[in-house]
Amino acid sequence: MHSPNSQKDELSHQIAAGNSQRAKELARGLPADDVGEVLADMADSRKNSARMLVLDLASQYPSDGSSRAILSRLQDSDLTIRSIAGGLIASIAQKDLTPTMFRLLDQALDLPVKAALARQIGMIGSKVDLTRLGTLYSSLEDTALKNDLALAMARLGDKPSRAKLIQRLSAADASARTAALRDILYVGDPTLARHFRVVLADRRDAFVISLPHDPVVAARVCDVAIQTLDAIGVKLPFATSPMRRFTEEQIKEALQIVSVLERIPAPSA
Amino acid sequence: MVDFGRGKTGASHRRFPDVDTSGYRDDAFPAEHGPIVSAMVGQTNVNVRFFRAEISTRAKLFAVSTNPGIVRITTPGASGQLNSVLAQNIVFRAVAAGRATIEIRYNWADGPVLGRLYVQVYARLQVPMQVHLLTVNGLAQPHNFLSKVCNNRAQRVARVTEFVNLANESWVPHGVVFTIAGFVDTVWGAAQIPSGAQSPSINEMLTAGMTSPNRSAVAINVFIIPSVAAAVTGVGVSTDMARAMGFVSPAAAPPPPAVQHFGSGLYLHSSSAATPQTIEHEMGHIMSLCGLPNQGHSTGDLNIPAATHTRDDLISRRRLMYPVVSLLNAAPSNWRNNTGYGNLKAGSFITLRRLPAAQDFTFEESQRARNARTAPGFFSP
Repeated sequence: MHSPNSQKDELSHQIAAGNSQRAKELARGLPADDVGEVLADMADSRKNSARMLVLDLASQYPSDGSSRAILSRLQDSDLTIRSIAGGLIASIAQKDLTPTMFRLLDQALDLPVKAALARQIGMIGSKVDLTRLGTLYSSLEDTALKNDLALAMARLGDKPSRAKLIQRLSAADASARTAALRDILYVGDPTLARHFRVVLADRRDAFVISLPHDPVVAARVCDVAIQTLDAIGVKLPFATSPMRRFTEEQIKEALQIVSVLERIPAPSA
Repeated sequence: MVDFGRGKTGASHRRFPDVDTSGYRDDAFPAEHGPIVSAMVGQTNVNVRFFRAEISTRAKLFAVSTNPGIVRITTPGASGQLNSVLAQNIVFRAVAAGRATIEIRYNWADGPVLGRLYVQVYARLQVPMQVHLLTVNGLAQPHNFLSKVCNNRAQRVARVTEFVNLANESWVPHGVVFTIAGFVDTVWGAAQIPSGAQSPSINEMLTAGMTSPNRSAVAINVFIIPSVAAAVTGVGVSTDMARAMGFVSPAAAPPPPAVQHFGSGLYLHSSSAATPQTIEHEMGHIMSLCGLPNQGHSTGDLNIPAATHTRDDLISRRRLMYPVVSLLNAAPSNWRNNTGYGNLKAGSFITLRRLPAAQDFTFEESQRARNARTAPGFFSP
């Protein structure tokens, strides 16, 4: 029988040795927080294989330590490790790590990584973070990253950011409308459904939903809108997954639900 | 006056990369005019074919690297003087990441430049793969596994490893290396495929992949499926494609620690005639080479508004992401008997140059694949 500390030491040892199988066996027998502590300690190991293993385990044992390990690898010297860490940003759940994430937004990271950090702050942060997000938003020039910051603010309840998002549903371009719908998925607020009339009426093709080798089937803006409605929690009387072209009858049903939502007084922020 | 091409014909080979002669101009590097080739840092003995197209074999010519710290020419040797022959291989070593040029100079090593080959040297970028050897509703892997008799797990592991290694031959020059992080024995049962089918439809397959046990969030999930109710050898689904097609659960990302699962991955049909090139090609899809909103393989293929354009030229026939819909892909691909990769073999050319979007927005595959690979979300839980 090993004590938890000796098991943690053994896990460190196996990670340092890059022994993936043994490390995973040991991790299974430890609480996630203990695994995370080890990972945070081992995240700056000199061996690439050890740092890769740290991220692999961090993806399986979410905890404060795991999240710290992930954030510490965003500037790893190895491109592969750096990019894998970037992919795990969405698993960070600890609100007390938002200051670290804000600090990282000031560093020379790739824009997609900064975008992922901004969105994750929106996911786990609170209204308290709005000021700092707003300051960052004003100081930036990159429009794509600004959009991610605006979405984070919209998710945290910033009224002007939400208004801009709603406005994008009426953009002239079909792809701009579907991008707005995708962003509404991130914001995840069902009260936004009351603004969907314009996209439910849009029958323009938006993007291909068939597999590359199959005959082309394109989803229309209205199809994307229906799936978004369902995804943000509006109950529809028919299944919406996987993605497909919905019938006129189904579009009409969705429109009726939106009509009802339109009559409900707008929520105050 | 001089020209460059691939150093050999036949199957893809990491030391004999394709030379992109498709544009001779590059929208991303407007100052460059000429062919380009790529290699990965650390590669040695990389070959490119040099041709004296319009100059006598008696003319003294020299091959010179503009930056030996990036590209060091090993053949010809120290003097750099080329042989008095119409064609010969120039061999170099990729020393460090960056861009250099092999210049062909007349009469002296510092003589006038007659031609240039641009060389892009990439840092190594791994694509770890988690390989799932599947049992589907009780159906185990076939004995004739990926076109070879495999009687046990060790032989199946060896076969998949061989395929992945061969698939690397065309991608290594672009700095992309597929590595197998591990093999897992994964079972899909009623929870993944409620119909109980042992030969799932494509939809069932992608849904099962989304909820599969052993799914990795830090590797491409490679599902080796014994039987599929469709005439496919493989399907490559990127995270973005999975999202667009609705293979994502839940549809809206939940606040962590809840996890959003995607049906992304490389699905290989082990009873089919899949080849290593199936992996090369499908990984191209996963690296967003035919990304949304247009999933066609090359310009002219599957264009949404038109749907009928056909591009059929020497370049498109050689491309890894050939226009499969407009150029019919009936076995055994007779429409392109031999495009330089062997008789009845598909091409593996991955483009480097970027053309103006109005001409062909599907070029610059090399850098676009790398960008897709490094973007957050490439691997998905």
